[in-house]
Amino acid sequence: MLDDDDRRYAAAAAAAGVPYLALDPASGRDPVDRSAATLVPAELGRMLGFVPVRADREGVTLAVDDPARAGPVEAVRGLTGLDVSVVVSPPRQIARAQERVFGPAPVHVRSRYLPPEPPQDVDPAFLRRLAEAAGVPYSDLAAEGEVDPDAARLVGERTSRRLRIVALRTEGDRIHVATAQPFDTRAAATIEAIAGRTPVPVVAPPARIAAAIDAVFGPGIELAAARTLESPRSRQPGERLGELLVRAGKLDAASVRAALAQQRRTGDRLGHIMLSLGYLQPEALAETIATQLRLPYVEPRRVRIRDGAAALLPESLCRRHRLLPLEALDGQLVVAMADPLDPEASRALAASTPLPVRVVVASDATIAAGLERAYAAHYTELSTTQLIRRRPDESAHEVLTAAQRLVLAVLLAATALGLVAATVATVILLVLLSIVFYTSISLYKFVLIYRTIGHEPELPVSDTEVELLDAKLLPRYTILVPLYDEAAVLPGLVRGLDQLDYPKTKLDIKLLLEADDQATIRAARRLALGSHYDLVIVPRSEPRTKPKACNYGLLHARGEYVVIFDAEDRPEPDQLKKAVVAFRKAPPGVACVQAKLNYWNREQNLLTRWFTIEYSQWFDLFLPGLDATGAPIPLGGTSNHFPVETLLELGAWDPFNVTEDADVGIRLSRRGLRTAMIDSTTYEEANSRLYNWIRQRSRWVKGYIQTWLVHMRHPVRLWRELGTANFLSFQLVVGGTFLTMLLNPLFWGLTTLWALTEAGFIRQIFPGLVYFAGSFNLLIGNFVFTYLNVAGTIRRGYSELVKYALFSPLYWALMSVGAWKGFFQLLTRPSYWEKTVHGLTAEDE
Amino acid sequence: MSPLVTRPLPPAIELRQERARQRQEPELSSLRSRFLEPVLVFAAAFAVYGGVGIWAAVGLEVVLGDAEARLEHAFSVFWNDPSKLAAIGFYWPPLQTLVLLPMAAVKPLAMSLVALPLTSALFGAGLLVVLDRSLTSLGIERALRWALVAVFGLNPMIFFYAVNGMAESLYLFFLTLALALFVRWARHPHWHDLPLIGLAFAFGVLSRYEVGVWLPLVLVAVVAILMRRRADVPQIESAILALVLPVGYALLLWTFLTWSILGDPLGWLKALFPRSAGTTSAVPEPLTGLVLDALEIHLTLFLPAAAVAAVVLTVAVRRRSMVGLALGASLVLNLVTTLLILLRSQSTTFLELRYNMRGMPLVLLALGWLLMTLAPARRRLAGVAAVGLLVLAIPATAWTMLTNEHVGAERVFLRALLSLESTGFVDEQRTMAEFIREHVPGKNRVLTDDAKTFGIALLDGHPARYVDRIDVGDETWLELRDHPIGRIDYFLVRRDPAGPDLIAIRYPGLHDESLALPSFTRVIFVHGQYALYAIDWQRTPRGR
Repeated sequence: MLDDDDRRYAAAAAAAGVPYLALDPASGRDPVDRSAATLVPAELGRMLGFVPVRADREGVTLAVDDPARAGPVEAVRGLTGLDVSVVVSPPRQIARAQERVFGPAPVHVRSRYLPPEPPQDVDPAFLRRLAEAAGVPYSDLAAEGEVDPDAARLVGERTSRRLRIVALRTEGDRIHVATAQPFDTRAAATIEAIAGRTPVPVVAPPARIAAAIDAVFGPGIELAAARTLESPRSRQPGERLGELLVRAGKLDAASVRAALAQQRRTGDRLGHIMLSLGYLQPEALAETIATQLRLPYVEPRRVRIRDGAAALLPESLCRRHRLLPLEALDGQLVVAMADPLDPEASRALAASTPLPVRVVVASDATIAAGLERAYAAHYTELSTTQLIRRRPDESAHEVLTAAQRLVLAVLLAATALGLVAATVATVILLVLLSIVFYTSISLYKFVLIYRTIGHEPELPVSDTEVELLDAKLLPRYTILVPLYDEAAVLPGLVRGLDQLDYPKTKLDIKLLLEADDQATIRAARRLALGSHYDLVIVPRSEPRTKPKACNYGLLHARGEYVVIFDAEDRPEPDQLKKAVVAFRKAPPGVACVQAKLNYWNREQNLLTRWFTIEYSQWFDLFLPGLDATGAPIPLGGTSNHFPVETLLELGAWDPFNVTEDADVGIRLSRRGLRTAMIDSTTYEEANSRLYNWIRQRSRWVKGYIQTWLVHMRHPVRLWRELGTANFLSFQLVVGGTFLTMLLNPLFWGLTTLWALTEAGFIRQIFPGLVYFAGSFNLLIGNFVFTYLNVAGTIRRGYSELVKYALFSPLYWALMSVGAWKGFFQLLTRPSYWEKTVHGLTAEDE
Repeated sequence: MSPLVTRPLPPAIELRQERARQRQEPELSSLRSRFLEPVLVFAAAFAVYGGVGIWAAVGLEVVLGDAEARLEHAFSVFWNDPSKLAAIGFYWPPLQTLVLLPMAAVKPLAMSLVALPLTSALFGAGLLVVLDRSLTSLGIERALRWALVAVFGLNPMIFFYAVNGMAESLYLFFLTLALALFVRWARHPHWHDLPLIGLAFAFGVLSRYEVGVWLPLVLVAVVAILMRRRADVPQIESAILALVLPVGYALLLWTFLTWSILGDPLGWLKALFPRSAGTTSAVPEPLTGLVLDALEIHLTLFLPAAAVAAVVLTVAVRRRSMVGLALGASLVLNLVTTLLILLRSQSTTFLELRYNMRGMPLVLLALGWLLMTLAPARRRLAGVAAVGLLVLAIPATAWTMLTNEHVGAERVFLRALLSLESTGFVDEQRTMAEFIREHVPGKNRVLTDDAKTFGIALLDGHPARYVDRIDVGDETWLELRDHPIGRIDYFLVRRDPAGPDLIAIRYPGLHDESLALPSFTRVIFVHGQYALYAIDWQRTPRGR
């Protein structure tokens, strides 16, 4: 049985060409799907007067009383990213449905942050002139009984509040409506559709209209207060920041002049400069900005995000623009900003919510802490799962896929069968395959290194180009420094970072601290760090890896570019500037700039000398060779620079891969992007103790195996994405690196056994050509690699290490020990992070 | 969840296209000078050397025994049964055989002997490219350097050894490369030059041992230059290591292999400084005569050498240039090396022209350096004079090749070239090889001394048919030779007037017709110098 409401709204729906849906349960069946309601915050539904009734993979359907209203559709689309359609339902049914799915409406409370505002109204004289111009009557709604509640209910509370009208009475097929905007034809059409009568406007003051609505429907959310979206830009500062600070006694004039001088050089915000120079504390700055803009200031201790408020803005928007949604009250959203004059943030905020926004000012640190409290679980989840969600095939969260397990089982079974049926032939085949692989790797590596001879394959960045950089145009740079149990090296790290030749106001250094590493957290807090440092506490969760911490830090990154440095890193001071120049000069498609790595404690002992020799060859010859050919580059552990957005788009680092750096390099290549090398070096601390070194090496080898397995899940797809040459390069560089380290001991053992015993079976498994190729690898290949180590060391200019390069084969034996440890660990603890202990040099000294 | 970023990345395909566009961007002129010129020089030289070489080897049958023997060794590496790398031999420098391996893997190339000229043409053309590049880096104008390189490339000695498959084109290439790199490093040091010089010397030494004599000279020059540049001790130490290491490793490895295979670790060294090499004269000549002969050869074989050496040394001393001194000394070192070997061996073998041509390309390097030191106006005039000198050297070298008493195959080559008549050298081998292929099926049936009969195993195409020393080693081979009945079916002997092979030494009747044949042998087939004898009457083939 249809009541009047049903009929009127069904007619309105038909007029708009939109389906009508009765929302009250019939025959015990609720037409509202409760799971759909979980897609949007209850506050949003209540404030915008809709309820989600259906949702599936394609989209979500909202019940609204007015199909012409774009607000609910835009808000839900913005929040969920889904397609949104509407059905029309009577407002009372929507309210009842909201009660069912969202629970009872909260009790009206006052804002914690906003001062009470006097009621705003329009000059009655103006409204009279308006009525006269429109040819309609004017009423101040002062007379008792002027508003017929039945007529008002015909239009409904929600529509009345939204359109800021109140129906006064009905006359036949006409309905008299009080409004302050008699020319609003859209409102007239809506009223006609809902009430089924032609509206006749009567001009009245908005405040009286609001009071009449309250009188009919009871006090509600105060939309009628006409608080439109308040653009921070509309508030022009009356007094300059420096003047305010001086007047408030927070700063002296000389400091302001110094900060202004720096501002002329760098073009930075004056407040940032004062913070970076240590003239001001963040709270003092925020308070002064609030005073300057005549906005409310929120102290850190007063910040408490009201339930549901965080859901009203996209988390990514808040993170990117440092916005903290505090509460949603009275139909408006209260948002804290550190820089209300940031036009980009204001624009993004306005575009992201249909609600009127009230801005309050809080310090950057307060907002960061608030965001952290509001979204910590979300950040943790995101830093662990974003790659799995986006590209599950590229995550190492499982070592082998079912298909890979099957292929492996078939290969093992075939080998076992072969060994039983034709032992010698099978072993010869395996030896032959190994030797072909060895030979290919040797030749490929030689060719790559040859390509670096006589060329400078790195992206050239001259000192002049670095000097000519305009500081004003430098982008903000985020530096991520994952730290765990590094309290001892923190002071050295900070000294090194402070020596970077980059405006402090454009640095965003995140020290990523693990929540359970209290010693490092305490040490970091003791360090009186500048305003460009952020301590990011990574909540404890699995997997406990460096890439997960970096992902967590990346979510907080505010820079245009990001780079990772390890705790013991000492980058060359101009590295960031070189990277900026490199990105500007680089051809399209360059999404990463890799600086070279080397060691500052190379002379400490034999192990550090060998390690330095290895890195000199790898970063000065081999990787530039890969760069020159456009092949995928397995990135080094630190000093790889990315545009933040590109890295996020890529899914950031794989938290389950223990060589996440190498993995990212391959993923870049799969997307058609590439890495360029620059001639700038970050000096690290070479591992100086054998067991520590073996642990580190085992992690690297394990990670390379992980990376190879991950990308070989779909070999044909990989081949298509990389192209034939790069596909082969991937096999030789990533596959070859771990396979040679694993196979070396087997072949060295066979050679030794042959030399000692001349055992017949060895002769059998090395027939003719296999023997020739094997001999070539043993006698020529090993020498070539040793000599390349010599060459790499010469290129790096470490003449004093050249003689140690002659003993590289001994170092390779150690590498194999680490490789086998890593291989076995892959089987038992695939994502376990073998922590490298830093600071050993200082200890040893 | 909301997307993390809103800005889409460019599609991969566009990036690839963009990258391809960028690859095409480098300036054409730079490409031309860096890549096109060497390619053109190489292609032209390879076409001429290769073409003439094939005609000489196939049409005129100008094939040198040493080259053919190396090809047979390389051929045996692949086509013997079982194949053995040991077939490369462990006495003479191995690189010549090793570089023949790729071509020896293709049977028709090896059996037609085309592999020989193609291989030496490859390195001969490479030598001209190295010279052209060096002259370019010394700032010699294109027309002049092309003229210098072309006239040098047409010198009959250079030409002959670029077409005949001998090791000369290899070692000249590596020696010249090493010196050219040294000159480049001395003028504009790059980190990679010293390691490359070391590698070039290593390959050079493995092509001809005496290339190593130039290494100490370069080493001294490098150290002197580094000291002049105030390099510290580790820098000098690393430079020495970079230079010495490849040669040291190559020789160490070679010593190890000769020791493990032949039991004589320094056997290769004896080849470099033989106490008494196979002399070409029955009576040893007096030392004074040898020295005078050596001086005469050095003066006449390549006319500009002595003059350029003198001028370069004078200019270098005046300018106190280490590079000039090193280049001048490298030319003198050629003569010194010959004299040292003569002193040690007192043999005329090392007066053969091919042992005295080491300095020829170095003359061009030194000329380039000299021209570089001149002002541009004088350089053109001096350049024309240098080209003239090189042109004059062509008939002078040819005359020496035809008339000198120490010539080897050079005279044969020039005469064949002038008369267009085949030498018939290959024909005898091919006929015998065809007979054996037709009548002696199976493996290990013919015992032969491969040092004399290499060509037959090669032209037969089935080295497994022959039991030779390369195949089984001296001990087994001698045992089979001394007790052949029931173990071997045939002896293949070369009845060489210069000296019998090891089978004929054991059974003189096989070599000397005036003596009786051994009782257990019977002549099966004789053609020219080659004779095939059956061992067992019961198992003779049905011969013609």
